[in-house]
Amino acid sequence: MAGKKKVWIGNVAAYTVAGGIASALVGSGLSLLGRALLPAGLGSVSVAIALVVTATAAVRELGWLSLPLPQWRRQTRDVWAKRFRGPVTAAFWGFDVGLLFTTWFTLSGVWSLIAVAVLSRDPAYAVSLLLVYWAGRALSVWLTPLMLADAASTPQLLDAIGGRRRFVQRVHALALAGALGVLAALLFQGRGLGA
Amino acid sequence: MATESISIPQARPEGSRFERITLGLVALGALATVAGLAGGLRAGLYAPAFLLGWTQLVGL
Repeated sequence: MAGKKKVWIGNVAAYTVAGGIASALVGSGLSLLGRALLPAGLGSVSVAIALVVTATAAVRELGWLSLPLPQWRRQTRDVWAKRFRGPVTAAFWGFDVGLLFTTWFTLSGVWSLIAVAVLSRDPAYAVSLLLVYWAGRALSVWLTPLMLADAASTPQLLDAIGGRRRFVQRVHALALAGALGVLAALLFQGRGLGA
Repeated sequence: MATESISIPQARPEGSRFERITLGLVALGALATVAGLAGGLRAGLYAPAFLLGWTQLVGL
């Protein structure tokens, strides 16, 4: 049992680290894209744009707006588990999911973070924001043992969480409302998203 | 007379644990947002970003 626990921890650690690396790459890439495409000194305009994107995502998750998510409808590859050893597969999965755009996301809040990362034009901030987002995603894997009734109940856990989609969507919308509050405060103070 | 058996879906304990953990994270997130705002307005976005990541779990 101790051996299996060690293997599990190793796999989840590999998943987490790889996903963190991918998230950092995405964060820096998005901010550099912002630097390439957007003028410096956008100030409150950058906040206003982020506000609109965030508000759109929030009303979508509340069910007030039917909007297809722009995304690549792809899941990370199961076949890697047959080809590679545990930690390597876990690292590939983590990196794939951490790249954001290469797998699908069922909830739209990530677009708010993408907008903020681009509009900030600040690699350090964009990287830290995407790393924190990844930490939230990875935590759900680390806490899975706390949510399982027993070692064999992963399908039941996934089933139970899937059955609570409405609850999760509302929490997602609440998080977006929190982001809206922060952006509104920035706008009120006449500040931008840049450093 | 045919009898019908009706299965009544039972609330799964795993789902309840997930909800309790999520609500705990929301409470922490609210505190962290306030702390982030005090630290520098942009920092207030970290807690919402974390919760957005946590709730993306549904996309499994």
